[in-house]
Amino acid sequence: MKEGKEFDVVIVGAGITGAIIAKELSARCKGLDILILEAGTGKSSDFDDYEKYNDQYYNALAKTPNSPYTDSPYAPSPSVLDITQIKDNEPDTNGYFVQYGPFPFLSNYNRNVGGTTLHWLGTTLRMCPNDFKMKTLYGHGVDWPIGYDDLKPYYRRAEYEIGVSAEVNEQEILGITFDKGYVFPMHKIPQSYLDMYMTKNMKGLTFKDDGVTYPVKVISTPQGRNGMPNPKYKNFDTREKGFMPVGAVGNPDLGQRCEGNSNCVPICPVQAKYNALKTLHDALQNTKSKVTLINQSPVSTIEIDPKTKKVSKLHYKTFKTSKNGVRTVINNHTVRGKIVVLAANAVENAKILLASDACTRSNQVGKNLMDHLVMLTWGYMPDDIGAYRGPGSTSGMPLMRDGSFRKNRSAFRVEIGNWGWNWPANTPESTLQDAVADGLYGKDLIDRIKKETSRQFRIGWEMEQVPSDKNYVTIDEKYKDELGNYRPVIHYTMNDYEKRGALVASKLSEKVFEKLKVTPATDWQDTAPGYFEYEYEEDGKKKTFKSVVNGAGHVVGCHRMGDDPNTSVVDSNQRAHDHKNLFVAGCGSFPTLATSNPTLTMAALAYRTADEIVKEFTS
Amino acid sequence: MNDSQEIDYFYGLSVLLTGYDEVVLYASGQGETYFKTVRRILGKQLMTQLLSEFQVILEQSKGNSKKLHTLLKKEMLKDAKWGPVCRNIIQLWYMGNWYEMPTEWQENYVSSTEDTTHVVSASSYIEGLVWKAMGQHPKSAKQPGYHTWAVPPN
Repeated sequence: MKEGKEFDVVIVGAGITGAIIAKELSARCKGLDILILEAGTGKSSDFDDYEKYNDQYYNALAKTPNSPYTDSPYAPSPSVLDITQIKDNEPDTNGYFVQYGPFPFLSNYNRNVGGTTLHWLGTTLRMCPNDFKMKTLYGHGVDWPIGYDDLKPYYRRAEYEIGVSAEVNEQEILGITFDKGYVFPMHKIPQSYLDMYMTKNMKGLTFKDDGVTYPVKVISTPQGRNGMPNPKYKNFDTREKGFMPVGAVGNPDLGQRCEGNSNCVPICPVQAKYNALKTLHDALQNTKSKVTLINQSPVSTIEIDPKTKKVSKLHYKTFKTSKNGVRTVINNHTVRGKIVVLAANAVENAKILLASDACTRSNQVGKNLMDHLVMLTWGYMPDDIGAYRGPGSTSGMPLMRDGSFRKNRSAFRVEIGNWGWNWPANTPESTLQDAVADGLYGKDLIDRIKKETSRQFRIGWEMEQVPSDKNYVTIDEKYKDELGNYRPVIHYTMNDYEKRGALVASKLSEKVFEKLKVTPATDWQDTAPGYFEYEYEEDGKKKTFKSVVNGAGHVVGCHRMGDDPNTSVVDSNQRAHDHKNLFVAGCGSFPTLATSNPTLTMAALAYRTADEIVKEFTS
Repeated sequence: MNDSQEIDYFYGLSVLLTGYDEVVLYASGQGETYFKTVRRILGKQLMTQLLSEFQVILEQSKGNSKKLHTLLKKEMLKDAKWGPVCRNIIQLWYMGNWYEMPTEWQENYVSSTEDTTHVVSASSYIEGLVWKAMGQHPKSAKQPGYHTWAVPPN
């Protein structure tokens, strides 16, 4: 490729946002030259390549979310294994992140072709209308510049592209509405036996907060996972009738339907779960415009023309390692784009902008980093509930995602886990190790394993984090990776608003466990990275709530959207206020996080951005 | 004892430790690999010693299952030298992992550079018996099929 070549569009990042934008542009515009620069490794259309990921998973000792995927010192991904508690005045520099704390940022993401959708669970929830108005309704955070109705048509398009399995009548909750006649592309994924057991045994359970009584109800979770196509499906935008599930890239007969591999996180071996490789594959196949994908090319900076204030150039480096792994060749490159899209992830986008002194007007770049803080509670069910089967979660208890209590404390989304204690306690491995340490062997060992694991049960209570000026990403000359690019320097904490949410969640957990006759086994260790304490008063007594949270992998914030260029980085189409040919896209644009997993909303926003860019080339 | 005899005794010991029949252990295709793994870390001498002592236990119990298990517990599982080895053999079969031996054991018996916690292979993970004991399938392999997670267990 010619040095300094000018493309019509340069997209930084081959994850779901970059993939959707590339696919839309290449399908709707004629004769465009589109370049996608991906920092990490991976091929987009090769199933043999994907099989290597499966193999890496089987061989991984610690089966973490990124364990199947290649990690390179030249385009490092954060790892959960690097996270520790942070000592006073001493940043944690274990891994890719430099963490100043005081609380560790607990999440990770994946820098490879396909991005974090390679390891995501696949939960595709829409935000609810009140989520967009946290400031007006509840006095916290900020309002979004758009509302639920603005995003409705884009949610439809995202649900089509991802391939979402759900039933409309179950999802008309929390003020969420659907267009008349709309059905999801596929019928809901069958709820697990556990879900139905809980439904039966929790009948009539309610929870009261801030004077309002909420039903505690098990409801199926919409997910980006192939199921049974809904024959009533009609694409509102293309008029296409019926839905064809998309299987594995490079092996399309595989993954047509979830087969119960029970391994969504970190990898669906058959690609029944959506991942961005599918969208990338389509983008690369489109012939109306040309899409070129180059991997192993992390972007270091974007250059701003001092006169026009537009992005004139991108600087990136490529790394190529010899087959025997001995030698790596690094080259510097520049490329130009009429339109430039940063779609590298919230933290990575912020990093590039900070390194480039771009989007400085609002002083918002890197600010208000957010995550869902997941408190896990676990125990033994009185009966065999067939744990460790099916997708990681097929249902939740979502009816408390919104309410007046949000004035006082964080809302939470409740996720029912199908995989026993795998997340909180690394079962079944730890169950095996404990039994063997107890001297068990032979038939007694088999019995113990069966008795324990079949009744292991856990719930995830996901607290919404509101924007905070204590939570931000920055860069520092002292901290760079092997390629000389900045490592994210994170300042982060868990505020009282979220701790209060966790406290309430713990009380609801007790209520649920009691109703189900669950023998609690929750064991929050004070050495855990996500350990926290909250002092409060109850019935005139001083109490301390001690608990542990984990990261949900929902990396959000750092380049918020808004109408006012003085207080936001991008507009509601994710166009940068300061640089007219730059779009900064992804979860980073979220002004608040809400209680839904962010990917579906991110995908909806990507369609808004794509439409805006299409206008540039068709007007 | 020659190699072939040693492998036989290794299977015999594994049957007792895992609680699964020889047929199941053979079907996993992992037996020879696990035998070689243990021998590589223990060293040939210690491996032969282990299996010879197991042979003695078998002879002493003369087909009496109760006596066999009593001896197995006393001479092997509760023994300072063989206990950790037996527990590692169980975990090899059940999880497909070798776990580094306790420091005390390394100091008293064998300190091998191969003695590091690791996954033996992709197929040793897939063939791990823990999933069978659970009545389930290994995460990411041997998928039971669409809808099976909705069916009542057993």
